[in-house]
Amino acid sequence: MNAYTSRLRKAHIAAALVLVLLLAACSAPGGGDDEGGGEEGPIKVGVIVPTTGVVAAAGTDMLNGWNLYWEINGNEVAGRTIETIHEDNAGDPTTTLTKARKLVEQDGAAVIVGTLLANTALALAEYLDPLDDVIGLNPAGSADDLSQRGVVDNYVRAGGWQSSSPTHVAGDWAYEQGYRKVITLCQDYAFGHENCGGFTNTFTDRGGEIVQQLWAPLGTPDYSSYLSDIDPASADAAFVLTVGADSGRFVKQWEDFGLKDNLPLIGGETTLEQSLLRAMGDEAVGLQSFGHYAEGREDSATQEFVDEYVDAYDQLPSYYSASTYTAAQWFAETLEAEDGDMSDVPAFLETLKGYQLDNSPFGPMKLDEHGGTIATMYLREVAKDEEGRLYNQVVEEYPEVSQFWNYDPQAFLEQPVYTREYLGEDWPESCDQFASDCPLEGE
Amino acid sequence: MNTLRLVKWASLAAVVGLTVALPYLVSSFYVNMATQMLFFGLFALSINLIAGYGGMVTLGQAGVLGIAGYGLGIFYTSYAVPLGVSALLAIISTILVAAFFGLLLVRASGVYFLMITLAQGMVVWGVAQRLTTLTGGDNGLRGIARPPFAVEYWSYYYFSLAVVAFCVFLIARIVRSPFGLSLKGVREAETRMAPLGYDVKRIKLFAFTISGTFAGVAGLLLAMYNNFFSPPSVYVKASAEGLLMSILGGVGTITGAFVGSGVFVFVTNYVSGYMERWPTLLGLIFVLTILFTPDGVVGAWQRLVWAPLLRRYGAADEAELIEVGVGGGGLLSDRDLKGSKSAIEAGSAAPSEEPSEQVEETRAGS
Repeated sequence: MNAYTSRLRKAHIAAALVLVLLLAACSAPGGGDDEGGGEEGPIKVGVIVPTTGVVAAAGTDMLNGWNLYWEINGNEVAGRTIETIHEDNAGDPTTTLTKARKLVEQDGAAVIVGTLLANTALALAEYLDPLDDVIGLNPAGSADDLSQRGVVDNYVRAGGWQSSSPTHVAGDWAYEQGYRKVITLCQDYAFGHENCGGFTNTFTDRGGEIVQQLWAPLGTPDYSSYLSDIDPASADAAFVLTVGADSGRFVKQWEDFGLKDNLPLIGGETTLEQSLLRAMGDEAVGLQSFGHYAEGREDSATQEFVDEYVDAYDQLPSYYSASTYTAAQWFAETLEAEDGDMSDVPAFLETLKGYQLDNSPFGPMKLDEHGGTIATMYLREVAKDEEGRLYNQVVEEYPEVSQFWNYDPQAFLEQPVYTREYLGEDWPESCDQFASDCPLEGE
Repeated sequence: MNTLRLVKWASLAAVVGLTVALPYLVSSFYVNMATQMLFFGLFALSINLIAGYGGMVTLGQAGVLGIAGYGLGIFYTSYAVPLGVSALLAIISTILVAAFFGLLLVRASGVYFLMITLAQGMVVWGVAQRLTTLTGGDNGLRGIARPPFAVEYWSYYYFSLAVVAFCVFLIARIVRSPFGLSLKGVREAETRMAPLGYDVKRIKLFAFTISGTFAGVAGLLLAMYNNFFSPPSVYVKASAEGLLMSILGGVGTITGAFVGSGVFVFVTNYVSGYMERWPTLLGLIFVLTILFTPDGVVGAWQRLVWAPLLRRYGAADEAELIEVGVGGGGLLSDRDLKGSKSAIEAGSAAPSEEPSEQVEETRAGS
């Protein structure tokens, strides 16, 4: 074989390839997707929740809640049929993007509902941001910045919350209880940082002191090394935020180490959450936590939802179930108000954001001007009902809690989001940074 | 034999034509799938380069990919460096980190090599997770842009195609270069290479660094595709998936990496919409592949289809080569096969096609 001709032939092929590539890239391929929104016809709604992977149980709760609303109320709103297409993202951000693309581009979904983990919600927000004809509903992705420093206009917290909202209340409450020294133990990732940040910020505002900070990675198989580090005599209480299967292990070991009777525990929302209480035993009874949801709330809106859910799925609903149920209600009632017309997306978004739920399974709910949820926070206590099921009953209600707590929104937004490095211990420095009820005044 | 060659070129032309015309034929969803297939294929190929050609199996390659992805994200979003410069800086960082990782690896082989790469991958993941001020922690980095000329789904596809095609061309050259052959020598008989005058450690280090560089390019494409980069992309699961893609397609082949990534992307993107237990399906595919065709889809194709065809059309020696399992190939590597054959005939794992040149080169470098 002649090496020279061979090389020449290859050069020709390469040149031809480059040429074809250039030609192809110069003209845009056509391709209009059929729209699922608009004025009439069915509305396609893509629901992205994890039904496989580590958070599959909570994701299934979300899917159940969404389906329950349409089963009860029928899937026709203002003359338009709501078609739900579920996609599983396995709790992974990249898969979330893939599924969002599939739903919007392939299925023509006009509305995307999801997702669960904060990082997947952030990825989804990134995808939705440039799209001007798709609306995202965010029932559970609680990353603070989605309504603070990284707001995406068409990704609306409908039935959602901010990680630090319940813990702002918790920090303030802890001081009120007379606790002055608190140990914090949080899961070492963004959600844990934001939870611990909320607690630390408000607790130290009042003059409380965080005497020990522990960070456990997500998926810690054994909490004994952390718990043996805790000296009950050194603190008045402990604030603990665990997630998923970690919560079950933590709560069991908290009792095993004899801490349950010696150190008051202030739990975060997901430490003692209904989807996890199902797998817990007496070790959890009597423990208190802060959250934006309590299945034991004795209001009719919550109890009707709970009864329907128990009928349909034979278990008590978690906040995940309530979140998508509320999102469905939020969307359906907005659609009703707009007479089924989704053709003007900005107008529809405005109605969606201005919508106020006077009563939902969460209680009253509305959004502030940044898109953050203003809702009731609950101090909850785990109790056992007559059938032996564990549930959170309400001890105290804190209505209309803003994502900015009592701080001045402007000043709050100038601070970074809570991370391990910034938990707000030294902030605010003065009462200028408060909008109301400055606790620094007396100091 | 000529007919066969014609068939081969015709199918190659068909594949090229289809690849180029794709955005005009199917909807954006499938084009996006093809884009993913391209950069995951490049990622699998980068693993293949050291695992398939060099016999060094890694479980930390996603960590190397992550250096590029995070590098791009950090330079571009946090320091507002222009995209092109950010990409360049990211690749340079990747090369440096890959070389550093390589230095820690050159003395190890087998399971120890595997464990060190696993640890390295986890270190990157741990840093990504913990160094929140820089990496955004678990929330990841948002706002990574695509090049201004490749923002649309179809233009980004062409952009990825051009980049990946160029990388494949380079890898094909590297694999067949004296260096590539000496890398195979390391795979086949590491202990024999040293007495023959090869600096095994240097070969391993180069291989790992080069492979890391290509993984870095895949990382850039991934980050720009998603406009987003977060810890799961560098987790051990991502590394394992890359390895599985390359095994599924066929270790030690170039086409295999893309076949593997194709199957993977198809199942995760498409099948998962119709089947709730899609991870099980993926697992089953892997298990069946390992059980029945350990040399992957491309290997099976060559043994069961291509070799009999070659034999029928009178190219028995080439067919034999495939049947004894010498080698990787597919559309791109008949020369590669000949090289390996002569190596076998010489009774040594050291490549004998261009021996003098190569030994000289290696010595000059040491």
